[in-house]
Amino acid sequence: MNASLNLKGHGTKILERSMLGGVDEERLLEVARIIGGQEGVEIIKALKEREDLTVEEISERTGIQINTVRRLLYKFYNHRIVASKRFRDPETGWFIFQWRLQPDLVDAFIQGMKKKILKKLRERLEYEESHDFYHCGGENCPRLTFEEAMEAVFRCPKCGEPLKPFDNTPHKEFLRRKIRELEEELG
Amino acid sequence: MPSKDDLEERALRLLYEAGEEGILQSEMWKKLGVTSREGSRLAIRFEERGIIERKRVLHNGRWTYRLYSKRKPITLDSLEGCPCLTCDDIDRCFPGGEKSPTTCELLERWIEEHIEAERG
Repeated sequence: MNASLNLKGHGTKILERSMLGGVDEERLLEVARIIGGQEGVEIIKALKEREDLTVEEISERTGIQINTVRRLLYKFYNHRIVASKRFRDPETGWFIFQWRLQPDLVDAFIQGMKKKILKKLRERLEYEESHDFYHCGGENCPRLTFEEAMEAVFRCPKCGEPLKPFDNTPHKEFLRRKIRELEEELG
Repeated sequence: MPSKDDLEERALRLLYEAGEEGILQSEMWKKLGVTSREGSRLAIRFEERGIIERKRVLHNGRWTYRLYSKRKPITLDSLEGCPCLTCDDIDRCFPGGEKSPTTCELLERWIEEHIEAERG
């Protein structure tokens, strides 16, 4: 099976290559795990072995319950990792769906996730930069903003110990670094 | 005879697959089945477009170029362990929302773990 590698930004069109060997297969399965856990990996492996399988066939090959296969296929479908085609069963008149991989969209999924997470990290950094924090020092106790600490009369709501200013510089530094890294990767 | 686009695509594929090690210019044109002149022109064209880097190297007593793709493979390495990757609420997560990146405990833990690891 061939798939496309988009070399956007390099002034070239689509580059065809085999997606299901080496690193690409590894990446495909990594994405399968993120979306559908171990069962998701098994389903993608089954579709990698053979295209155009029905839910029942996938269930038979993987030993995963039909309902779970269906649920995970829809999850993959929402991320465009799989596509389906349907036809009518000549005997029953019912629609039959066959599923196949769209591995060329794995990179798009990864880039999409990175964009979403980049947004979350920027929002988190903004929050860290615009608040002062207080903490009691207890390992399992929450960190409070100045406003929350005021309301709690500068006592930890969990253990009752006095709250002290909390230096969140390492948080901000980590977030800035991670944001920069993602920005560079996204180009 | 392959079209110019076909040739470029095959060349880019070779370069991409060569990864960090790169590929000798002479090796590339042999694999593509083109003349050294064509191969060299192709490499120069790619360099001008910023797709590759050409480095002059001595190989078997002769000067040639080693070509490196500037395109890095797309990976999830930078987000290893990030809870957002597997979070079902990622599209419902925003500041002020029921799920928020400002209050998410899993995100907090991920940040803390990295800070701890860096402290050693």
